[in-house]
Amino acid sequence: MIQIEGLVKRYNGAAAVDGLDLQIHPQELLVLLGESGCGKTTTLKMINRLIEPDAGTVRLDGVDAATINPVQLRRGIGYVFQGVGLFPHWTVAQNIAATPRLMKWEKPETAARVEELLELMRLPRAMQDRLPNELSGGQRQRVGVARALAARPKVMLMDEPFGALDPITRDELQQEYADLHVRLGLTSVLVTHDMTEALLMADRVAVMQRGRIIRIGTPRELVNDPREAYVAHLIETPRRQTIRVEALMRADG
Amino acid sequence: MNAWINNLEVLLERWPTLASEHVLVTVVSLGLGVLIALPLGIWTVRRPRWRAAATGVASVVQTVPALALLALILPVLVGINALLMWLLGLTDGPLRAIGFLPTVIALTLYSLLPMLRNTLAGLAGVDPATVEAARGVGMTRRQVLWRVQMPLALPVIVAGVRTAAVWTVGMATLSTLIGQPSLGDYIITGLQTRNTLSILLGVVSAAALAIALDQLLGLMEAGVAQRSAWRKAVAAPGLALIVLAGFTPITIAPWLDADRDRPDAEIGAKTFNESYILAHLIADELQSDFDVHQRVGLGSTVAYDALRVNELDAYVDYTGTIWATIMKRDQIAPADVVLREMTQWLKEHDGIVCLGSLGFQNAYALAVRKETAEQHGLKTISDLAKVSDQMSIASDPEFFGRAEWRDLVSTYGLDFQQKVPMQSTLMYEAIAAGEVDVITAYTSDGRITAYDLVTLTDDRHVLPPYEAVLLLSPEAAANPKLTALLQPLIGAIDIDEMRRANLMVDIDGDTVATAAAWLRDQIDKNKKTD
Ligand SMILES: Nc1ncnc2c1ncn2[C@@H]1O[C@H](COP(=O)(O)OP(=O)(O)O)[C@@H](O)[C@H]1O
Ligand SMILES: [Mg+2]
Repeated sequence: MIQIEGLVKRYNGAAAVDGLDLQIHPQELLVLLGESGCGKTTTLKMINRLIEPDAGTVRLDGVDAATINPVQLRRGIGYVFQGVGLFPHWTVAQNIAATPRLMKWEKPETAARVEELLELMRLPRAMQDRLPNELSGGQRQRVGVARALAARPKVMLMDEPFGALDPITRDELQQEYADLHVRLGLTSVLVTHDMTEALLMADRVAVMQRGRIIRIGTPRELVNDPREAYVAHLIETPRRQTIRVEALMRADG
Repeated sequence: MNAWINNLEVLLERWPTLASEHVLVTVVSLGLGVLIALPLGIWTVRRPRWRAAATGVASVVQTVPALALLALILPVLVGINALLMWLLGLTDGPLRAIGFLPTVIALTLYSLLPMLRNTLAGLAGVDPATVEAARGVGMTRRQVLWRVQMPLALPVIVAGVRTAAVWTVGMATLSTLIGQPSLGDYIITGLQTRNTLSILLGVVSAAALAIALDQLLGLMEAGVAQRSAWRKAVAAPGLALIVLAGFTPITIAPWLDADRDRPDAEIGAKTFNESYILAHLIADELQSDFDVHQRVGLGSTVAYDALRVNELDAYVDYTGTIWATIMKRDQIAPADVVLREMTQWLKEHDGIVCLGSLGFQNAYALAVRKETAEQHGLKTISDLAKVSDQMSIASDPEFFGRAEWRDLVSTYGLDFQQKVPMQSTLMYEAIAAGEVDVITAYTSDGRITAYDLVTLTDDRHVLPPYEAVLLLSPEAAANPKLTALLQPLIGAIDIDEMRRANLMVDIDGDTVATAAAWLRDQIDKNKKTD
């Protein structure tokens, strides 16, 4: 359970996040949706204190995050960065083992965990000795997710994890992650600016505009009852695309 | 050919010592430089104001010419010594103002800029997204620095260390001038004695060391970055070998100071062979009772400054030099007056004791062939003036620009047919071959004997006297045993003997030790005949 209340972050007087309230239920996959610059990344980073809020609280299972040692907090939360952010001087295995090593896991345990994650993320075992610049974009993204999952966190924060991928790889990874989320019993907050991705993956979608949540609900609720003009506008694109594809399929069959 | 091999053999005798000392100061300075520049870079990279201050200071140090920096450290150390003595109530300064310490300070300061700059650039060049990812996976600040920022900045930092290494090896050649032996000894004495082989040996050895350090550091960095085992396997032992070469018994011995029974005696020498020979002679005299160390190749006023503060115990200087550069006197006086006034002045101002003249002068003189002297009956410069309009004179181009030359011309009314500026080595050949009739020479130059020349008396006292005098530091002068051992040298060396000794080293390729031993024999013989 993540409870966010009155969260504010200002840069040079301008609010990037402006009194944001949000509750994320246990084992929920919540998608934070909004256009570029609306404050999604800033919100996500305030949850694991990569950024310190100017006001408001974040509570994790009832505990104020501000009272937890930030380093310990981050080791307990998986984070997938916008643009992946793998360590270029470390191999795939070393990247995946980053957090377990910081937590001083036994070597064999760490090695076993790396293999387990390679399998889970469907990466060939032989890839573990490669450096990040020897991987494709999709492979790098998989390693990024594996690294976030390594220390068995209960909470995953993902910042546009599939943003830079080709449509096929992207679709594949979206489905795989949705599966994993259920299988591992995770609580996930996934940031995107892509409404289709949000509708396909989310248990609930929170739509952000200018640093606030303007509408929150299940994909079905949003599609059937957008309420806000901005939300309706966002839904227009996937709706139009779906209708055209359906029409094509009907004409064909 | 034989002479070359001979010359090289003699030069190579000192190579292990000089190379080892050179490596020692280089490695120690670079090590200290890294220990200062790295933390400073890491600490200031996020503090713009401190960063500007640190790079500013390092840049200013860099603009000071190397030689000036070396020379400036000396008075600073002397000052610190005085302060420490006053604060701690010591009778002796705890810091050595010449040799290893000032060299390492200067080289370390010099190495800072490239290393500091590259540390800052390397750290600033790490992608901020990577740093944030490091924090995101749960690294502490320190872990981010050592596991992510430093490894990623390493190639740039190592490039800075490589630049510093090359500079330091080069600058270390100058340390000879402040009493630290180095490969620069070859270059400086080579320049002094026009021994091209010596210069080449110094330059090539230093260049080889610089290239080796640079390449090995590069290889090591590549080995680490590319996880290349063979690169590391070559670079690590190579670097270790160089470092070890600096810590040989030769370089460490003075630190261990094995000879505790006998008191130390530090003997200085300036940058020319006569000075080396005399230092060796003094060292031989003291050997029986003292643990003697020679500091040869000292810059012109370094020896004096070191003597003043008891860093040196004794060395030979020349009355004319002290008169002009230390006492700042410009009027010419007769030799005995200069000696008397100088002795008094040194005692009063710096507590330095002039034990007396060794018995010869190394002054400027006009020299002619023996036949010329006999033919025209020349004994003095006044004699020469009468016939100068039939003669040509050769000299160092520098001498024709000096006040001494103008005074000579005006006082004696010299009017030469021709004035030929010429390198001093060529001068002797030219007069011997009859191409010129008169040359300027240093009176103790062995070539005066070798080419059978006659020096003319300066009967109107225009040229300043340059009597060789034995100077003792205040402390050494208070040591009765030391003064007793050196007393026999006073008035014991005549000009012909000094010329011969110089000739042995300058022309015949004998070692300084051989020449000093020969001089000693002469002194003993003279004693018996007295
Ligand atoms: N470090 C910063 N300094 C100044 N402004 C920032 C900083 N980080 C983000 N912002 C601003 O805050 C707003 C929200 O940024 P961000 O959270 O990155 O948006 P999103 O992830 O939704 O694209 C943007 O207008 C951005 O320019
Ligand atoms: Mg963003």
